[in-house]
Amino acid sequence: MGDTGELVDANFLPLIYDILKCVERDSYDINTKITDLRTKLQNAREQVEKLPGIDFSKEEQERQIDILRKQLATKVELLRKYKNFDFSLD
Amino acid sequence: MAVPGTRKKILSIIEDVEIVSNHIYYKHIVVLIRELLDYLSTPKSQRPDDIDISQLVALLKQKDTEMQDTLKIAREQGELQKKMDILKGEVHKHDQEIKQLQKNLKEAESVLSTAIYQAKQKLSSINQASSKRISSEELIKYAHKISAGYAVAAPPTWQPGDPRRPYPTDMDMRMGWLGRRGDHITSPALQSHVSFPEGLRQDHTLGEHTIQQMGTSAGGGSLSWQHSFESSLQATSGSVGSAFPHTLTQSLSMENKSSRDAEDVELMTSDSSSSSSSDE
Repeated sequence: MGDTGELVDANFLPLIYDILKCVERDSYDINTKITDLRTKLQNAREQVEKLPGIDFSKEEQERQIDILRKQLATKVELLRKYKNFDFSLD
Repeated sequence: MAVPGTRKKILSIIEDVEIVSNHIYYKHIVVLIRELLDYLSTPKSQRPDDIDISQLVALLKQKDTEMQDTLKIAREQGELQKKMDILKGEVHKHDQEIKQLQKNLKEAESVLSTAIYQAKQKLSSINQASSKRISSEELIKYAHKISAGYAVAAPPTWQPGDPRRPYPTDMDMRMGWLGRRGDHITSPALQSHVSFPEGLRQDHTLGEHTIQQMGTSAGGGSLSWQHSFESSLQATSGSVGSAFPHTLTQSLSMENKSSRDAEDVELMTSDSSSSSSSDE
């Protein structure tokens, strides 16, 4: 497969290609190649499990960020209001 | 319908890749390869399984593209997650500040409510005092009255004009055994008192009694100690003087004669008078 970046090593195409070549040549390395592919698939799964912030879709995440920004603005405003509140009894 | 998360998407793609690869090299791999070789050796128009193989390869390529796109999204989401963490931290920090502020406000409220309660109590006391007004002149007069007569610690039966004091006066001390002993040492004129202690006791009781009587008789008059004492002296030397034993009159006349001693008496007894007069 193509470039997967530094997050997950998901470049499976070369291995599949190697396997096909081994089959074509009746090579004894086919078992090793198959094991390598399986290991790579498992590693990719584990790396994906460790990736942060992908429990939700991007849209949902953006929505949550908007909510957080609004919350922060509200709290900042509240604090400003409290701090500038005139407590005089006039 | 909820959009599945990116993690699920990537895992699903990986699973698809695995399935496709398994499909390729387990089930049909040998056959497919043989067929593929045959297929490659045969002309393009005569290829029988063209769709099947090309479908698998296309599927694999599609999955690869999907994987790349999804991983790109995952990378962006990672950046978004960092922003989100920063925002969450800020929100938490502001939450703490608001909580602290609320706590401070609560404390201020309790302090103020206590102060208001006490102020209300004081106001009610002030109103009560205003409704039952007593002039300051009256209060000062009463204060002089009780301070001039040492009545702050006087016996319960004490009345204005009573020359009794809550402590032995200088006169009492001089009439006591110790005073007479000192006089015996210094003044030979009082030797007779020392030599007749019984007479002295009698004189002393009689003197006190007379002073009390004179004090009560002069009740409505001046509250000053000196005045009552002088009047008791006059009474003693006048009307009751003949009945008094010789010892008391002698001692009193000696007291009058001794100017220095009299000054001491003045000093001792004028403490209260001076304090009361200073108030005036």
